[in-house]
Amino acid sequence: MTALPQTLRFTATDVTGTHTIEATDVQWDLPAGAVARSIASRMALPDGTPWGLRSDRTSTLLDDDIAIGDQIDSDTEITIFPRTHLGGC
Amino acid sequence: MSCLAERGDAPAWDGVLQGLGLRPDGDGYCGRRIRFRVRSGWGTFESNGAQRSDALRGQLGRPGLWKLCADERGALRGVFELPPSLLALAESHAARFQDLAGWALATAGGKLDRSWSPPTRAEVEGWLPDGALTLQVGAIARQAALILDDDRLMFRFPVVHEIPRSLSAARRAWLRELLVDAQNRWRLVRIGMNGSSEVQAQVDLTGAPHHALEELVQIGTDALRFVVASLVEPADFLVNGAAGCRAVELGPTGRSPKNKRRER
Repeated sequence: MTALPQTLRFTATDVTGTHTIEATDVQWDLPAGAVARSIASRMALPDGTPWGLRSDRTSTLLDDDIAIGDQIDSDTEITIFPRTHLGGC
Repeated sequence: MSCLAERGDAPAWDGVLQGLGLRPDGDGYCGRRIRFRVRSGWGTFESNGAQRSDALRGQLGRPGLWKLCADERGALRGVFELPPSLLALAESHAARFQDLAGWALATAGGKLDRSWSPPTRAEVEGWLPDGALTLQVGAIARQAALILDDDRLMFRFPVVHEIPRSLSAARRAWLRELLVDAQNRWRLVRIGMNGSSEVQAQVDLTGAPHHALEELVQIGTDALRFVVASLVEPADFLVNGAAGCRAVELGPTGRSPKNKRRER
C-alpha cells in the first residue's frame, strides 16, 4: 500500500485576531481554498464570504487551487481573511 | 433488464454466467465459490468470506470492488457490486458483461489479469468534474488521492488520519460500529483500517474493463464522496471530540467495563 500523504499542523488566526485555532492533521495536498473554508467553518465565520489564507512569515497570499503543503511549511502561522473588495462611488 | 432477472426470466447474461461455471440457482446463479444475483438493479457477486473475521482488516488495496460485508446473520461475505447502468449494457452487449464478470471473478482471489493496462492520468482526470477529489464538510476537509500505476487504479480518501492510542475502548467500539455499518450499507466503497491508527475509504477499479472505466470512475468517486461525507464528522467526533456524552462513553453495547464487572 502506498503511504498516506503527510499532514501539516499550523496556527490560524482570523484577520481581526479574535479567533486562533491550532490545525492538526491537515492533508498537505488539500487545495488552500478548501483549507480556508474549513478553518472559516471552525471559527464560525460567515459561510457566504470567500475566505483566503496568508502566510504570516512571508506575507504571501496562498493560491486557492494549489496544495497547501506546496505553499507553507508545517508548524507555521497563517491568517485567514475575507476576499472582499471595498465598495466605492 | 434487471427486472427480467428479478422476475426469473432468463436474462441476456445467462449464457455468460453459465459459460463461467455459474448455474441458475434460486433467484440467481451459483458456482463453487461465487454467487450472482440482481438486487435493486445492481448486479451482485458474492463470495464466501468465512476465512475472515474482521471486515475492516486486510482488505485495503485488494484489486477490484470486492469488500467484506455482513449478512443478516452477521456472517461475513465478499461482495462485488456492478451499478445498474453497467448491468443494462448486458442486455445488448453480452461481451461487455462477460468482461465485467471476468473482472469480478479474476479479482475474487485477489488476482489481476496481467494483460490489463490502466488508463492515463489525463483520461481519468478528464472524466472527473473540477474539485471532485476535494471534500469539505463543515470544519473538516479531505483530499482524495488518485492512485494510478501500471497495476493500480484506485481512489482513496482518509477518513481518520490517526486514532490516538489513548482513545477509550468505548469510543473505539463506536468508531468500529460506525465504519462497519457504512461498509455494509453503502455500495462500491471499501472501508478499512491501515495499521492500527488510520481509517481509509477507497474505490478500487484495478482491472476494470476499459469500456466501463469512465462510468465506473464517475459513479465510484460520487459514491466515495458520499460515504466519506457521511463518515468524517461522526468519526472526528468520536476520535477528537472533547464533549462528554454518556452514550459515547458507555460504548455501543451500553455497558462500560465497570458495569460489566458489576454484573458478574
